[in-house]
Amino acid sequence: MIRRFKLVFGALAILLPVMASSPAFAVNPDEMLSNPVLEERAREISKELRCLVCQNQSIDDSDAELARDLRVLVRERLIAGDDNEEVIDYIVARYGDYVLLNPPLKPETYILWASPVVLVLLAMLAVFAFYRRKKRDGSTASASLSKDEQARLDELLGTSKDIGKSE
Amino acid sequence: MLAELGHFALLLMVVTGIGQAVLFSPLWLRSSLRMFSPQKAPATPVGSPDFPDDDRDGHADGAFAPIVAKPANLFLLPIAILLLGLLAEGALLNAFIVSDFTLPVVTDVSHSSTPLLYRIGAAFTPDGGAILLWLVALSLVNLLLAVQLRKSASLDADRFARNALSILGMLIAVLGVVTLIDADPFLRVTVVPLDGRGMNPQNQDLLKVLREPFLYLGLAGLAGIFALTLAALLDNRIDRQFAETMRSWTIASWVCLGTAIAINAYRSYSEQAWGGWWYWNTSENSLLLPWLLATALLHCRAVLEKTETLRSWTAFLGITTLAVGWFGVYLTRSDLFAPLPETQILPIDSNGLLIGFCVVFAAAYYLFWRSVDQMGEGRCFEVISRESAMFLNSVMLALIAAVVLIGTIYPLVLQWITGEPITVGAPFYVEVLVPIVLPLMFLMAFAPALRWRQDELWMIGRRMKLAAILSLITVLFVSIRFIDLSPAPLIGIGLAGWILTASLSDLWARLWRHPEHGESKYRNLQLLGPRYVSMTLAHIGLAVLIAGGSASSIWEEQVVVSARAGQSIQAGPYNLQYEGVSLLAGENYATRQATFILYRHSQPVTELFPEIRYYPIRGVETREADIWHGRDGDLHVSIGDRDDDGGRVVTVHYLPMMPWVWGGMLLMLIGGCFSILTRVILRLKKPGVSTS
Repeated sequence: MIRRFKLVFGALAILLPVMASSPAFAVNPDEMLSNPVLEERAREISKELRCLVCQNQSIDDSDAELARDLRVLVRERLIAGDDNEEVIDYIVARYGDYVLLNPPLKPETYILWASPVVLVLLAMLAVFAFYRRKKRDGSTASASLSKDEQARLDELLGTSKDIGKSE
Repeated sequence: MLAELGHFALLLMVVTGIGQAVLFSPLWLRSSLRMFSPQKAPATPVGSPDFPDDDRDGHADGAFAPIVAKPANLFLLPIAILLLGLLAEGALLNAFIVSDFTLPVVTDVSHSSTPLLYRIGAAFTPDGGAILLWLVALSLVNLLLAVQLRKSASLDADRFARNALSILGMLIAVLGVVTLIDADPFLRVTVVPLDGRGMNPQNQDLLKVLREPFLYLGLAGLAGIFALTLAALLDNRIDRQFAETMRSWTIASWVCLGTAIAINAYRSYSEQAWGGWWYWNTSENSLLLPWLLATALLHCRAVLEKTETLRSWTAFLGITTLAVGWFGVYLTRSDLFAPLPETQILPIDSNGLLIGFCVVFAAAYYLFWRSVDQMGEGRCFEVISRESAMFLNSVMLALIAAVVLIGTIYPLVLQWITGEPITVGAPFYVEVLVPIVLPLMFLMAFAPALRWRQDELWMIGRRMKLAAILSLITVLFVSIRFIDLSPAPLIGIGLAGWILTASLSDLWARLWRHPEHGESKYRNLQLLGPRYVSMTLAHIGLAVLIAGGSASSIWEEQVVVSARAGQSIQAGPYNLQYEGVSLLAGENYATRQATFILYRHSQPVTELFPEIRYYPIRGVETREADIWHGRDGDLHVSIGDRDDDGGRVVTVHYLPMMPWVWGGMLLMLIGGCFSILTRVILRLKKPGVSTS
């Protein structure tokens, strides 16, 4: 009984946007599934998918017509018994990787995904080199001081320098 | 007629800009130098950084005296440029105010029925108008810089001022030329349309109108920093004095850009039906990028001023911040990022902006590269020291900016190379940035408590003990109270608590244990100085922002119902009673305005009026949510269409602690303003006294 109700509801949910001519609204009540678990999963999936005609908004956030169609499609697949991955694959198969807000790992996006790691490593190297150079230049940095001043400075700094080295 | 006058003013502005660039440039100084002291060597080419240090003082007196004798020189051109800029801007604004449809820019984005305020706002939205606004802001910065650098008693300070103004003049000339070639706002058409196409309804909002001046003032401030940096590179004097000169500019542009970001976030929050406020789209990223680097610069500059270290890094940031800001303007102004071809309204050609960008920054980075070797570093600092913390902080901020930049332009480059479109959206940024942001937040709490030059681990531990314990208690409390919480927001809350308690405990320690600790806490607060206070305010603001963002993302409640008149909707501690929708006429739109009565624990609090507006000129509907900023959270109500069964679709979001997000942003901005204001006030009170 419940299953039949769901099916009817799902069919309605697909048909309604076709009938409705006015612009839709982010997640209308008539799209929502009666099963809260499925609905929750639908929302989760929707957050990963891009509204194709908006600027980086997920279909969950968008009130564009196309986003609504996608939301309905997601719910339709869920009712058909797909798991989350299958639903996303289904949509990607039809709309391409462009719908995924999180770009998939593939040869074209290797650089994109590698870049943060590479940047972090480079930054760490640079910072390390910076401190190394600083330590090495520590004595030469004060070259503008005269010899007497340098001697006096060393005398004054003698203790603190030792502490720095012992760390 | 006025438009032609504006056009002419813009043209003259370019000429005057070139004039300022040439007259104040080292080339001019060198050639006049040759004139006055023929025994000197022939002039070196423009932009060459090799002015030997020792040489500077040697010939200065004799050679430069005839030129620098008239200090009014320094003001004449900047004032002329500003007046011309105001004239051009005035002419453009006038064209929008009187709806002069012989100008295509007016036709494109305005309409005779658009209210006056938005007609003015519309003047900033087309390419030409936006760059003109940037130009006016630049000429204002130009004059202010001349005023700031006027008290150049010594001759090399005078040359520094002239170099900086020359570079700004060049920037003004370049941008002026870009405006004239790319998007001349003063062109006329012979066949006059009957009326305009109307303003984009999304932009018809007071906040959106205010955003543009703040954005371009911020970018102009960055241009000021850029000019100062290049001038300092030319003279090879990235030193304490340079850092001091740069201080107000850094903070002012940081505040302006931050205001633009905050306005942008609040605007998308109140415009959209789902209560989100950041989407990582191109226009938002192009605002965020210069702000992130300005934040990094803010910290490096402080280190430079204090210890004269990090010279090359500060100079690099000084150049790159403007580069990124300029590139961001190019990205948002070009049509490269329109989602799909059919949604593009006006394909715009902004190649001039890109070419100008390439020329200016190729020269700037070349100059940087040439002079980076000559930059000695000042006193050294240990790994555990405040300098070190601030340095690492700026590196991490720059890393974040780099990642955001790559994420923004990668789809474009990929599509250009392989023709395959991909999307880089919020999930990518979150996944990639969280591992960088978390250590940044963790380190951020340490910096104020660290000593300059050198510090000891165990002493830091002692100082941070209280903050660590308190933030751990917060995390424990939250995780016990809300047992099934995912770790990410919990970490957010914990870090917010960590920063907050660390800032407050440091403030407390300083209030009581100040070396000149005296009679009253108020006196100690004065001794702390405006810098410390503004820094603490900004750090607390960030903590509050993080806490609010994390909490509202966890405990957000969303109710979507199809409501009928009289129905009551429960969301969090609030109860909304739907009273129905009435059709009203706005100034240039028709609106369906719903009325809700808001109850909190069955006490009426306020009435909320979310709307759906229909703008007939463009045939576009916009939705305006109505928001109640309560003590315990925001209630965000928006309405949708009529349902088939006669109800009205109503979306209610209850976002606990969301006011913290706005409050946090405000605190950060107040912190920045406080720093500038105290400096200005102290300047006015006692001329010549610098605050510290």
